[in-house]
Amino acid sequence: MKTVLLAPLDPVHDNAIKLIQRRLAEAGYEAISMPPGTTPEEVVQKALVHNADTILVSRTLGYKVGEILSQLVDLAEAAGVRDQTRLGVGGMAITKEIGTELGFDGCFVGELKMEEVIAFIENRASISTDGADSPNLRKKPDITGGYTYEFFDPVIEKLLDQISTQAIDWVGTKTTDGIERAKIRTAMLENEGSASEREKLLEQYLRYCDADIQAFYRSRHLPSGVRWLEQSEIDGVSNLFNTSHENFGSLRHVGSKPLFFSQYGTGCPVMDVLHIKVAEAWGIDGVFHFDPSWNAQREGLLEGYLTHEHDGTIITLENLKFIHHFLEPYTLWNVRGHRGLNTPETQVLGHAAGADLFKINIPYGSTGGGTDPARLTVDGIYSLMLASQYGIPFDIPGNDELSGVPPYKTFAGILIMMALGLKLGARPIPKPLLCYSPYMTIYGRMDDNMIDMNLAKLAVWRDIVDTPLWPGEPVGFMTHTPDRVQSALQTSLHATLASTMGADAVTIASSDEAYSKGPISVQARVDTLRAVKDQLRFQGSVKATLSPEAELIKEEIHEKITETLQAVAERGDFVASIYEGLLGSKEDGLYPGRVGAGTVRG
Amino acid sequence: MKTIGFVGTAKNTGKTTTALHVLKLVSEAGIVTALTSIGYDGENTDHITGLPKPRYYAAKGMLLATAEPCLGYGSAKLKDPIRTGLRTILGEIIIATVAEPGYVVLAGPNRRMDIQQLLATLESLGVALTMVDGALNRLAALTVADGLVLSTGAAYDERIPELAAHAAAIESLFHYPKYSSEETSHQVSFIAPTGITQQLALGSVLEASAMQAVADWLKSSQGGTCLIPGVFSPQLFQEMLQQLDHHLEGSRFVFQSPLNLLAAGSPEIWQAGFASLKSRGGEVLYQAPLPLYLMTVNPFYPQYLQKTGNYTAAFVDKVALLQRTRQLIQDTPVVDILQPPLPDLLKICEITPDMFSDRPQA
Amino acid sequence: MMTKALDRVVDAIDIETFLYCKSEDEAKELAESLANELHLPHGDIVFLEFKAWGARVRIRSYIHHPGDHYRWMETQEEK
Repeated sequence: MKTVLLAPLDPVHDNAIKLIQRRLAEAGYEAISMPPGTTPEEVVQKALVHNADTILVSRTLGYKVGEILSQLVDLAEAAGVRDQTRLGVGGMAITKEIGTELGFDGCFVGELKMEEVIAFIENRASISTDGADSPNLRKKPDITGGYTYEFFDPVIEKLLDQISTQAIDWVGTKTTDGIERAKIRTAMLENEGSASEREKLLEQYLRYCDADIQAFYRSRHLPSGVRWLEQSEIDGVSNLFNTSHENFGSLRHVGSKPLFFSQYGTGCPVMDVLHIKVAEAWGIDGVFHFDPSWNAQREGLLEGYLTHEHDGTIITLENLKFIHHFLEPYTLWNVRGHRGLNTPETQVLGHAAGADLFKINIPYGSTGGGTDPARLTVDGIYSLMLASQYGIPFDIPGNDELSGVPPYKTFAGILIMMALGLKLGARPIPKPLLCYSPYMTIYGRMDDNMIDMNLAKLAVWRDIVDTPLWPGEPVGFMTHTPDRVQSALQTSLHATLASTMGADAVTIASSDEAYSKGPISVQARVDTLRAVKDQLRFQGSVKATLSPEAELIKEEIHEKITETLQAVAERGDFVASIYEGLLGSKEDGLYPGRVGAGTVRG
Repeated sequence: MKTIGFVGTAKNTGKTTTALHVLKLVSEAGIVTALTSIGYDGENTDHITGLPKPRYYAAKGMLLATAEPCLGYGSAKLKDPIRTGLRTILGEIIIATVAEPGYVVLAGPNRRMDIQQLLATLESLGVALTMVDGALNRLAALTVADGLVLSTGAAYDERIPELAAHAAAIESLFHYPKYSSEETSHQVSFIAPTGITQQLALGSVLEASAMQAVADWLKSSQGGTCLIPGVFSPQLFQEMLQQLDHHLEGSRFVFQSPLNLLAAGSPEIWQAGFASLKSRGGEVLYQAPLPLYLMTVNPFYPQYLQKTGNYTAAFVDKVALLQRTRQLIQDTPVVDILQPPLPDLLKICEITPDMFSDRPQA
Repeated sequence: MMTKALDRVVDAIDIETFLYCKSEDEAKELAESLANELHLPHGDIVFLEFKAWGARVRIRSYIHHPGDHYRWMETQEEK
């Protein structure tokens, strides 16, 4: 049995030493610890008396710390201790170079890993527990896996059936330019090898496009501020990530849920890739593509490797494939098309590029998202059919709350989308927004705390339907300020609150969420990832229970969802219900969208 | 093969500058030389002061022994790597030959037994001289060297009298004679004039009870030889001397080497203690004395400027520093490398003509 | 020469950023150089976390140390 001497040379800090002692004793070593502030002479004396096989020293950086550590090494050498005893050092800011200069046999950099300590004691190479065959190797999860979508509330179920049947019947054989382009794009993808076929199909495609999109294809005229990526830039990105790396751990401390997502969309696919790779390295499970609003407001999508500095990265097949190419195999990828005139085609391209998830919400996209309700209903239902056809789940963001819509109306809209999707064979994921919305501030719903309302908003779903739950988008919306620490804190509080409720996934912001004068910085992403990871560690397996107040709020939301759905069902017209504000009115701050008005045919 | 260790009393005292100067001389003389370090020598700037640091520049044909990752760090081109099997934090120590001159990063073995093994390997490769770059505050591993060059300077203490006194105290420890007997021990031992031998369980005196045992041996005997193979705490040594007022006549303390004394503590305490011991009829000897070939003094020190928050190069009176140190140290040459004229340093370091090779290395 | 605004820094400036690099060693070198490149007094790495292809860093540059004559006091007194 090897003897390990543990020597904290700090006058106060010896917590790492105590932890190591406990773990070494459990592993069968005789671990002798010395009190804080031990001197080098005392360490060497103890090592001589006990014939220590290993001495492990800890010392955080401070005045003359280098001198004290090297004195210990020198004294150990002069006393003959080094002939049979290995010396290891760890502590804040100890590096391999410092350890070498000081003369140690081993040093422990950064977070303590017992496997490394034991390997050092046994004088063998440390075997990573995350090797290629490790069971910890991350796989791409199915967020909807295991959920039956069984409704527990028969009243709501019946109302949803009525509403969704009417909506699908209303759509019938209606079409739009967006749907026609999606069909042509599908054919173009199927005939990629044939230049003549592509030319023929492109001509058809352009008939359904706006003038400036046509100008792009005919004369390569780019929108203002947009440029082509050069081949050297495209090729050069590979060199950025051509080193092997250790398996990236997840943010979770326990369990396999929730998955954490963040959005990207600097405007430049190259910069996006770097942001995504950094987020992956720091533990993200999935990302979703954020495109610029003008991209959604024109009939037709561009093509090629395009870049600009704008709020969102242009959707082209080439950009999407480029970004997808660099994702880790387990990273989930969502290409959003929940508003605008290109929703069906976005799903086609997203699927072709390898998307794992679509984003579709007709009520939100046709109000807060600015798209005409009739147009988006037709496009949206077609997109749901694509989701079903492709076998890709779709998530339903509830960001209409940001306009002032009360949560029960947003949730009613999300439930309608769920019903539509299920009816068409797709798998929905509702996304209640955990936020400090205008509704909350005006009506004082979060005056005392931000916990009860948010827990209630999550809990109500469990009473209604057996469904995955993915709070977003991101959580903590409207609580963030430009202060980095405050922003990261709010994100971590909201994210982990969702985790205590068993959420399947959570979308988190960067700490630049409230900064609007420029793109999100990569350090801002790292900051919130680190904050969330630490908070998850803090709470471990602890689960939330609802307070009496939260229970009341939950019941209230449940009742009002039913009332909202009743109103929509009685109206008998899903599209008209959106126009007339039944799922979010002008009083709530929501106006029906106008982009694409009058473009539905049939 | 000869081995010379280059050590400093503190950072920025001129250890590397001195070594580079000697390196240039041996290179010009065509001596087959190897370079290594018991620490890590590779930064371009001091990580505390931000001031530039001199770097080892290796000539063609020199050998270096360094950790494997460091082979690619400098600008020198290297060839013919030989694995030694010696491992450090940074990796396995590799011996390589300089194919094209340039800067090198030295990170060699840090344990005495490993250095010994490395030196044996280098000797087998035909190396005539190995220069070992030292590391902050660590001397004990260099007992394997044939001699030392010690650098001190204002970076240790800006006050010239204190700096010179400290240097003199260190130097004074190198002149005690070799213990003529073959007698060795792994434990602290006492051989009375009667021939009776007593021993402690351990080879070092680091706590009061061990010191008391040694004191009791001396009290119960008239004279006697005490062997200390490991270390003796200088504070405990002083306490012991105070107890043994009239019992030191004829006593002999045999330490392993001057480096074991320095590893244990302050040279000033040892100097005072040994002076007291001598005045009361006692002696100090070494199992393995080690020559101190040369001391260098460096007037440079990094001065912190409040106004800018930066460090800048500052200097004490270089002439006064050299003079004062030479006044206190008579038996070892003291030079300022940057104050010519310099004596024949190769001769001082006992680098003899038979070590010179026919083929120049530069 | 310090600018007026720099004189008003009570003690330290922190640079919070992310550096693209391929090793922790490279990250340290870059972090140490950054304050210099920005003409700030010697930078110390407060925090550095390297993963795969980049490092999140906080680099600190002290403008005033305890015990200094604080320029931010002098400017107030001048008023």
